[in-house]
Amino acid sequence: MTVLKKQFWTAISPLLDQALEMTEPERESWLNEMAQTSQTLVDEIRAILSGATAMSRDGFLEPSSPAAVATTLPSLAGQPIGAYTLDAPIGQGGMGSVWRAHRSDGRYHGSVAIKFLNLALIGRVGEQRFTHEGTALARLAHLNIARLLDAGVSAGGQPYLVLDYIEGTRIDRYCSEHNLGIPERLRLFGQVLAAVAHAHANLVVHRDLKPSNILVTADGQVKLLDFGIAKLLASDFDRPDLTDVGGRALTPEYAAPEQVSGDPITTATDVYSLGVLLYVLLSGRHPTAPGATSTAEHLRGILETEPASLPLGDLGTIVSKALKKPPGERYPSVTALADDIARYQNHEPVAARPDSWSYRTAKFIRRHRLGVAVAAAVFVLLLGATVVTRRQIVIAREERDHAVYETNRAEALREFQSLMMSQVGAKPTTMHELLDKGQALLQGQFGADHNVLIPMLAELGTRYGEIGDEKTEATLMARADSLATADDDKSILWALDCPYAGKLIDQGKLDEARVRLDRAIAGLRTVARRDLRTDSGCLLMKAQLYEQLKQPDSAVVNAAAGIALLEEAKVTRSLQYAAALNTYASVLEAAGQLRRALAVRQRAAAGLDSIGRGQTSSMLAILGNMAGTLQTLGEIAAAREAARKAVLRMGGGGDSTRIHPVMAINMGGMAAAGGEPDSAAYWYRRAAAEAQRLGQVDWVFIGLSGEARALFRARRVKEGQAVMAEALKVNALRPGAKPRDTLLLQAWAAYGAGDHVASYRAFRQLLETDGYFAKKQRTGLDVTLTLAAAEALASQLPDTALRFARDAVVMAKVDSLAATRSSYVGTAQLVIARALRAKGDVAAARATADSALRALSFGLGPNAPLTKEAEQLVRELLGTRD
Amino acid sequence: MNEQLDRLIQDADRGDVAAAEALFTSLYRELHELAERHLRKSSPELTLGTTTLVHEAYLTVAGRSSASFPDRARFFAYASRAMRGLIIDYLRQRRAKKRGGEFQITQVSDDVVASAGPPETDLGLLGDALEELRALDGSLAELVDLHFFGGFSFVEIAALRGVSDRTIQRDWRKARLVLHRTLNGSEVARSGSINLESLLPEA
Repeated sequence: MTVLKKQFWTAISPLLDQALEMTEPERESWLNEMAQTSQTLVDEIRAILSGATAMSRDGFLEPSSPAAVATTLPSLAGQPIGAYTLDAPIGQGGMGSVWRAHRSDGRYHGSVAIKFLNLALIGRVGEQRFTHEGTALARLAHLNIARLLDAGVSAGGQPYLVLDYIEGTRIDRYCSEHNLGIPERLRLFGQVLAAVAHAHANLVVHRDLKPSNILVTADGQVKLLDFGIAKLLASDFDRPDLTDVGGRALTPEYAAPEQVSGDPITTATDVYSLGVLLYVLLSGRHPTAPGATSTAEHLRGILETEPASLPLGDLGTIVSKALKKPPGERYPSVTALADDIARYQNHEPVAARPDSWSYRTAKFIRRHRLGVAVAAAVFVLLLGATVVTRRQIVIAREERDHAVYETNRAEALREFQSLMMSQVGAKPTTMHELLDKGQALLQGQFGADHNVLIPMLAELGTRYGEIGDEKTEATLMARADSLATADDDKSILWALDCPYAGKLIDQGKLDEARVRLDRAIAGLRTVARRDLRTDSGCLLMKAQLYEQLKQPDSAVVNAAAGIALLEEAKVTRSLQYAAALNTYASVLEAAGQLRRALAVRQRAAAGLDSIGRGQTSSMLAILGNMAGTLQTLGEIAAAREAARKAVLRMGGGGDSTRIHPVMAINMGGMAAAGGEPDSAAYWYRRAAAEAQRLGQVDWVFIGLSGEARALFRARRVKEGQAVMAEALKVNALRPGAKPRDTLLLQAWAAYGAGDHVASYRAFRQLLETDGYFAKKQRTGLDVTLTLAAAEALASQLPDTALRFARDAVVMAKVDSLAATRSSYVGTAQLVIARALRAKGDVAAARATADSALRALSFGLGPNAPLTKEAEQLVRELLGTRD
Repeated sequence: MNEQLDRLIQDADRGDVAAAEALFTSLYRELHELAERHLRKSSPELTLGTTTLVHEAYLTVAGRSSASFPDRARFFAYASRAMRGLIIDYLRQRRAKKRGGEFQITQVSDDVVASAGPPETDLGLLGDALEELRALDGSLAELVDLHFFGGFSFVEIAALRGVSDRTIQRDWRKARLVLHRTLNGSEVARSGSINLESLLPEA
């Protein structure tokens, strides 16, 4: 044994990586060049690389070299299987192993092939697929298709099929070994077409046409093998898609676009694969991914690359037509393809036409769409990995192992979810596209398996919601709900009720939501094996319902109970726990417990960071909400810092970056509180635009009205009025439109116009609406009070101003971490100081202005315009005699 | 069991030899029991996929606890290594006993038609070579365990590791080349004429 030394390896490893990425000539010149500096190093690399030939010759660690199988593994040779005796293994595939065998009684001298179903696949789906191949084959009797001779189950319970034993060469090798010309190649291909057309006539689609499944015997006869994933048309609608459930990846080189994207499989799928085969046979090159080495490259090619047309005149056109991306543009049938080839062979005009201009244009758009799909196609494969586990789950379920099934369904969901989540940090725009693809994929992979489809739809819906697309969320939720209702599967329905109730709450359908939640919570209690996480989700949803019903105390109790369940289930290191804390904090906030809310949000954020989920959309939501809480507490500077972090995690705060409307609204609010109306207008405008894109009318209104207010505040009255008109139009469309919103805008409009009396009256009326004078509402009015006070002062009503502003300070103190650092306290104090000065009480004004300056410096930061105003006032008052 | 396993994986990852030992013993037992169970249930002509065993071991372990379970990627890596031990031991035993009632272990994976290795006698040597490789480059050795002994496809491994399958394929070629060289030696090395230390680049 030759052992490389560790430190030596450190030097050689990256060089080997490089060498392995190079072509032979590139590598030669690279090595020669390097040899000038370190001959010894190059010698060692050459020595390692020199093993390549021997390695592939010996099949070192190489899968599928039959000789090795025979020598390595305990042989079944000589074992009787039914009427046959096994001779030697001839292959191994995803479905199981294939053996050469002969009849034990010697009645028939030839060899047969016996195909065993892999034990891992025994169970409903595996056996179904296996019998399926038998059924498919039994329908077929064609010279060019390997016959099914017998089928059975071995003494040990292992199902098997007995097939014609074909001694032959792969069609592509046969062509090159025999140096066939185009006419001969076309004749062989004609036999393939005849076989496939026969299968189609019997409603069987092969779906896995590729050279290794097409052998040519010594006498030049084509034999089509392996109907393992064939699809039976017509009768197939009521069963899961066997190919996918079986966990078998498609063969990327020969797959049609619809197989990659999960669209329906038809006979046109086989037409495409045949087109690829013909292309390869004619050119020796792959049409969409020449030279591709990875599956991802193949998938990208299938979806994106238009094959270079072959310079073979009409024959090239025929191949192109078979390779069209949309199934509808290909030959409608294999027979049509065969006919056109026959016309070509007879030198008649062919039916296929070169690309028209309109096709090219349409293609441009399609290509753009598909460019997006590629990331997702790779994702198909990742999901494929999940499916393998899923298949185990199906088996586990067969064995009545419910616990394993449940755990793993949750695992599959989580994996799906985390995969999507992981995309959000770098590129939020692709998140939406990934979800779109995930949705399509879900149809393809799990379309018929409601156990997976329904929760996944709900799950996907929630993800859409998280990125702000609540419209799609609602659509998916409704679909999941109608499927579950139709299936009448109670446990799925109950589990779905709670997330669905969330959607109903968003839509303002509170009664309906309540019915759902009560039904689910009662139903879930009766389930034998309770899933604490599901129960917790329901309680938290109930909390949100109470929040909407303005019963904040009940909301807090339910949320706390939900959190406790998660802690009991020990799932505190999870996204779900962080999301639950986020909800809990919002409920606390609604109940006026701002400080506790902030602490809970901080815990949620720290928790996400500690489990490495700091870049997820959940984190963005938590940071955004934290900014909101801090903002409400008057901690504008800290709020901005939190918001800035969130925006940075989203991938930068540039104009072109997608930003969640809520985040933009918060940014606007913070700018407004800091006395920066122009900046506020900018953020609110972005919020409205983003909300528009998502079809979120509430947020559109908040954005527009915020923008109008900011514009008025910046004395950009004309612009403000235009935006306000727009906002009022939108307000009329909202189900929850409140007269208060109109009133607020009118107050600001008056402010902008410099009509202090009118705006004072309007703000006063707002206070009336809010129950201030009836002493119903004692918190949360500080901002309105401060505004009313400022306008009262400007209307020469200093005493009224003082009264309002002092109440504002009291209220703002309640909702602050510390009075000395709340920007709202500071702003109200600034008004008080001005009112005191107006009344001639300079000493008191000076003291209050000092407090205002201190609070604003902390709360807003030393450079905020309002802080500067306070500084200015302090300076003026210092220069004024008592 | 589960939390314990989780901790063992973490400790083993940190280079705790005792933890690694305990981890392998535990996983080995797990895999062995599963294989035996299949054996009892089925006929002698059983063909068992290693991926199946490893996945099943994972499901069993994961199913035992309701809460979080160990990092899947790490679990599969260690389980594949334990699988290697199981395969090699099994082949040794089989040679010693040569009797019926044995089970056959093959690799089954989605996109690789896999079922072969070097001749039986070499498997032990391959194991040794792999341990040498582990000292050199843990990730490469782990790849061999996952793919060759665990039966995981490149696509699956790429997904587990969060890298492209192209990278995995390149690493696989690299691992094969290095193992091949370790097992076969080279003219240069065999002649003992070169001190590897002297090959280090002049830094």
